[in-house]
Amino acid sequence: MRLRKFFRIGLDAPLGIFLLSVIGLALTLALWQVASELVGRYMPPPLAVLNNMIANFSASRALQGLGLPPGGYLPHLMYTVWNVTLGVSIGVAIGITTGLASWRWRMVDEVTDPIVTIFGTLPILVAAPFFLIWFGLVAFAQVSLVAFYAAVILHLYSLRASRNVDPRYRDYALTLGANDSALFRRIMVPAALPELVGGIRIAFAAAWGLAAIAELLGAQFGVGRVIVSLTAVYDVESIVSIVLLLSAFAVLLDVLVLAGRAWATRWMPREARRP
Amino acid sequence: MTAGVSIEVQDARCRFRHVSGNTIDALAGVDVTVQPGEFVCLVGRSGHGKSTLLRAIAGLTPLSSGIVQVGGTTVDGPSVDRGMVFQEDTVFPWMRVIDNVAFGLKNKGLSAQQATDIAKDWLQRVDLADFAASWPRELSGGMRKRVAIATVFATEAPLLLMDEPFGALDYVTRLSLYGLLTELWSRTGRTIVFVTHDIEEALILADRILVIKDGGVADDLRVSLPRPRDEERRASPEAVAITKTITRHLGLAELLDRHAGEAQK
Repeated sequence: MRLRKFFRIGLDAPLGIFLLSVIGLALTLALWQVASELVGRYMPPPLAVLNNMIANFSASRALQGLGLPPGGYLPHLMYTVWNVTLGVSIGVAIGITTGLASWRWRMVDEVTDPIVTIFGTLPILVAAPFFLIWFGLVAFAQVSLVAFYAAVILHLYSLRASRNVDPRYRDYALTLGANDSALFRRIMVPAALPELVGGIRIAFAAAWGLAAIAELLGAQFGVGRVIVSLTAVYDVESIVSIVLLLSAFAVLLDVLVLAGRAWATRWMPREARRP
Repeated sequence: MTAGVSIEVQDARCRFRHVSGNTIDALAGVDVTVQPGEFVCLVGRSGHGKSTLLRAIAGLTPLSSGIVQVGGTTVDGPSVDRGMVFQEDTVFPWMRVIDNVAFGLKNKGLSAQQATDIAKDWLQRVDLADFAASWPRELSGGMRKRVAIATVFATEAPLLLMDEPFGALDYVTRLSLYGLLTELWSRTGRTIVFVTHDIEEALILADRILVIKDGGVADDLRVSLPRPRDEERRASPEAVAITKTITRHLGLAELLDRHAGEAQK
């Protein structure tokens, strides 16, 4: 039955969607190949990038030659991925807590609103040097930077999501004896969750850039640090390779977030569950 | 069996400020006494204060002045002792049916096992035992109302407040829910205050009908028809007299005369 559904004819059928994705990917690779033929050295072709990824994934003489620790791209990728995951997780926890608290207690909203407005609009290139000066060229600085921006994003998302929760659910819960804790855990969070996941995805999307910028400005390790070193020797092929590998991790994490969303929103009708 | 409680509403006033800047008296000095175990219907036209009075008794809408006492205790906020079924679909869509029914019980401090056992029993009583593990989206509107009814009855709240709970349902489903509700009410002896704008619904359910008009009680009518109140009983002289009294209060005769006059022009 499932197989028949998969092979159903039509562009909205699973097979059709899969084929469209394959066509899109093939078109991108073809355009990339053509561009590399036209530009030359500074636009390496897809196959060369793929070979570079395989050759340097777990051990790289090129990186060692630039004074970077041995071990290829992998440890740098893991360093950045870990910092992003940790930073976003901390930021999500803080942002959701302050966002929901701002919804519940007006005083908290009055206090947090100007802070979020002022610091949330601070450009990353202005904020990053402060974090690096305060915390040094260590992972803590990069994690803090990511956590800060993720908290701002999730604060705004959770405040908006909680305000969008239909008040009838709150009234109903109160007449069923819900206290503040039950109201948060069993009503507000699950009701706001679909919208919150949107915020988490945006926080992750922004976090890759934030972590990379923090590493570019000053770090001993990580994808940003590798890019700085490779840029100095014009090694475009390696830069593209490591950036694409980082993108693959970003896509993988997004898939995990979406899988979590699918599980947490299984109570919703199928059509409303689409991200 | 949980006995019902009395309700005492004294000079209840509720004033709202309209967006235009004018103030509106949703309740303009209401005095009502309800005896324990009574089934009272509040009947009236939209915007005359029925739901505001119900929400004030629930503790969801604060009064501008006056007092509401339930079982001798002054109402100062919502409580699990005053269960409410709303007009809108309020069954939590993110909880399975069994968890919805157990929600109020857990809030009362019962263990998860105790709450689940009681919830299962109540689902059996409303004929939804086979749907305990379902999501609310998998149920029809009438079934979701039965979940809401099971939820408020399960908490053993001595007072149940119902704000046009069956308004969005079809006629046949409504009739079956009237049967379920009156059966549960007669078995448990709870006090029920039920808001409706449907006179027939009030005649089927109520011991007493309070006609709400312009934020006050325009009439207090006893309904002594034997139950179950089928079509024949609803066509009896007593039922017709009550219907006429209510329609007079609602200004239905004047409305019909006016439309007839306009049609003749």
